[in-house]
Amino acid sequence: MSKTILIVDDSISIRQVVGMALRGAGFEVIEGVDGKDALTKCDGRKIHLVISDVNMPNMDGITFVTELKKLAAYRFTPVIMLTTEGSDDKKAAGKAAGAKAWVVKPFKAEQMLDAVNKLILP
Amino acid sequence: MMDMAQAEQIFIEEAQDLLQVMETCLLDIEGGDATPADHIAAIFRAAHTIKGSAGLFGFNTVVGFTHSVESVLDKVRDNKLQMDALLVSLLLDCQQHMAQMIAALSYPALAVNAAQGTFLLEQLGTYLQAPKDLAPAPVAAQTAAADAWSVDVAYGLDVFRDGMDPVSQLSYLTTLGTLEQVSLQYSFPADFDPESCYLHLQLQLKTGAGKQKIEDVFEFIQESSQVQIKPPLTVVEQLEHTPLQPEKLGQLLVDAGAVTPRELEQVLELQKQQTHSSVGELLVQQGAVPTAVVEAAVNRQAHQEHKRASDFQVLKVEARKLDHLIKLIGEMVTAGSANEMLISQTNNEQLQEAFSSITHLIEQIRDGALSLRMVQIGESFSRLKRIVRDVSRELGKDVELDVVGAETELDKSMVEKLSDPLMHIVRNALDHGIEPVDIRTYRGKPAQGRLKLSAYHEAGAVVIEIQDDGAGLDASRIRAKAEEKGLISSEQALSQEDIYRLIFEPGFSTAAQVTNLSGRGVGMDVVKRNIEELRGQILIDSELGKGARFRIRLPLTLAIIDGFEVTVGDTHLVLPVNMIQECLEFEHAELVEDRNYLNLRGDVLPFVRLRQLFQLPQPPASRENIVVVQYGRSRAGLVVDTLNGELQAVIKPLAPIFRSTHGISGSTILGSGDVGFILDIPQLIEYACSTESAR
Amino acid sequence: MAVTIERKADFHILVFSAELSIFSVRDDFDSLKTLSQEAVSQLMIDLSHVQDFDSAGLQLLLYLRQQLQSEQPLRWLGLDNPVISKVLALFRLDLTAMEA
Repeated sequence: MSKTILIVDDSISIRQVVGMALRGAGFEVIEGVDGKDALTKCDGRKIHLVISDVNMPNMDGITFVTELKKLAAYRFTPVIMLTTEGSDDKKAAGKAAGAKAWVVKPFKAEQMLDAVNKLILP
Repeated sequence: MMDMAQAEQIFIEEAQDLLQVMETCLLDIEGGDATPADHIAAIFRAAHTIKGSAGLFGFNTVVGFTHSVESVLDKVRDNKLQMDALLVSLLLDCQQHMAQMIAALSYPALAVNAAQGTFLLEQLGTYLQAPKDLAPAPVAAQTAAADAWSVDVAYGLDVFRDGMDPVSQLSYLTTLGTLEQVSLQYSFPADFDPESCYLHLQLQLKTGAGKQKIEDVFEFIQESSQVQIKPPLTVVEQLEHTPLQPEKLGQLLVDAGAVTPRELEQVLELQKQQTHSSVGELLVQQGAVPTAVVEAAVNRQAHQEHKRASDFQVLKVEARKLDHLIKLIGEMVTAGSANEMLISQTNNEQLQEAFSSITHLIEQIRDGALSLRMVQIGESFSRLKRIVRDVSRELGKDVELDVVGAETELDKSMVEKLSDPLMHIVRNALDHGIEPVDIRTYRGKPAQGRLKLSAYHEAGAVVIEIQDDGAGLDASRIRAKAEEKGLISSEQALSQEDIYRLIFEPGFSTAAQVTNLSGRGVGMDVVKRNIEELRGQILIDSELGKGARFRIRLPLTLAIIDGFEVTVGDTHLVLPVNMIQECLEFEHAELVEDRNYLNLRGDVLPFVRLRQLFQLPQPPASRENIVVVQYGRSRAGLVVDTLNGELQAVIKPLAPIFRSTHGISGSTILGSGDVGFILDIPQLIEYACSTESAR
Repeated sequence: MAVTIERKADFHILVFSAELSIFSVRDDFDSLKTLSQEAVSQLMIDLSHVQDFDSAGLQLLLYLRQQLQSEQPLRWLGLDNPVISKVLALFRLDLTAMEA
């Protein structure tokens, strides 16, 4: 049974590229366009990993992760934050919220796969 | 750009140096002067480096053989194998075989004994298949494996809660390389919390990836857990081959992939607080790298510091360049004397003074340049150590070797030319001098024979002594043999010392008497000739039944001497100043009849009239002088016309026509442009004493 | 849904549900605490239904083995479940082996 990954980003192109790479690697991928939208996808279904951007309309990534971690079904779900170079404060805030992994933008698809594979078994 | 042949030559030299180190260390261990623990690191490193470098040049037979040696050494180093006498002996044989293989690289004509190599490999093999129950490889011990990275992760309690899964990291590592060993350890507390992580993972990973890549696997748990990654020993090799640049130790380790920038940063931070600790120490303390890796890096750093020419570092210079420099300085000395002479004729005091300071500087430069050629004799002595060991073994004799004054310095080219004669004398002492154990016991001597090698400075000369407590030289037997060979007649009166000297006559030794060891086609006559070529002298002392002592006296250097110029007629002669005792006016009145000796304050002083000896045509001057010279314990007077004073003489080899002339060892160009002949004082003294005693 | 304990004859069978991971280990652990109050003769651990298995789940199994094997031998069911065998293989673990 393939594992499910939720990718949250307001950029369609990022969702597409990451989604393609992850699906190619055998994962099931669901998408959220911002924090608020993503939370609606977290309806209790099994999600093995969440990948979230930080800056998004409606609800930013930090708030989204904080809310996500409040839900019992996702309290231990690993989260990868998409940070940018030099945004150490954002990274720290993400970590505090419960996103213990990160990938720095811009990244290549393989880099994202590497990060995913360090967190969950394929 | 360095071409391949040059690089190969450097490899060969380096390998020879390393083999020398290996030999010295092994002999120290065998002789009980050091424990295996003292030297195993150095021995291992020698083998390891030779293997590594030989691989670069594709010398596969060297690599193959050395690999087995290295593997055995590695076991010793890991305390999985004990270095006993048998193993030391085997390793010495291996060392010799490696030396043969290296020598054959430069001289393909030298055949390597392949059968010997196979035999040694078999012997090494028995050590490599040692029973497994000897010492099971402890997984917990975080030692650096030969070719695998050691990873040790003590997971933090919050790892699971953070959404981290150790098995994913393990799975990811398999994409980087092969997991050699995996061990999951855990210890659960009484108040076990299923959501807390109590796991501790240790593994060995074989990979071509660098440390950064491995560390990145754990990047998301870096803050919650303790991760230690130790490079394999092959990284040590890499360290030895990274391109030369002035770098700090830390950077060196990072470049070799042994340490990640993050670790270095942490340690540098830590160093600010613990200023007394070095970066290397801290990295080891932090478990980032094993000591061996830091050592390799430190060594490498030291190597680079050589290039910065600091005080006590060693710099390798091509002998050719040094010789050229010394030749130039020699010419400068000569030119200086010429100038000095001209200036002294001008009566310009200021100019004279100014020039005298230049003269002083030239002397210092000369001494400095000559000292560059000076090396310690210890290197040749340690070569003799090996011969003593091997030969005494083969002959079944028990011999203890004492070395004194290994730090005595002498000219490098002399050390090279000395090694053959020394080897021969030592072989002779072992062969004919020191008796077999049963004879020694029968004669009431200690069963173990003693051979003493010593070197020291004495009155401007270097003396090397080879002394044994063996049977000594039997003057009557030597004499009988010399008569039998027709070297002397039975009537000839000879002093004991003269009789001993007969062993240096060509044709004295015979094959019948020479064992397979000492008989390498070199007789004692060659020994004497070699030493005389170095302007040295060899003396023999012996007491029958108690032992013999060979003393070799050599000038300190071959290139320049402080000379004293005299003339006989219009011939200029130069004597080494350090051999002159005094100069006197030659009083015919004090002559004892017609004999060639005079009474010098109560002592008998034989003398030589140089005019007669060299058959100079001019009639004797109205006033003659006598120069009293000393060499060793003998002295003699040399009768000359005028005494001209001191000078620095650059020795030039004698033109062939003069080579057969006794009493002259070389020539020099004087400040005036005239040729001066350098007198061979030892020969002249010998001549004076023997002609006088022959009467 | 946490582990269920089935009692058949003199066997106690611990049947783990689809989830044996960080999300379930607390509940699993709590359910198993009741075992210590019973006289257990034969113990079987069934992993055949597990679909999500992680290191936290593995750690719980290791803990169980350590706690229980001293009393009676453990029997394992479903070790061939690929979700389980994959993790065990990576750690080079054999749950049926007695703990050192």
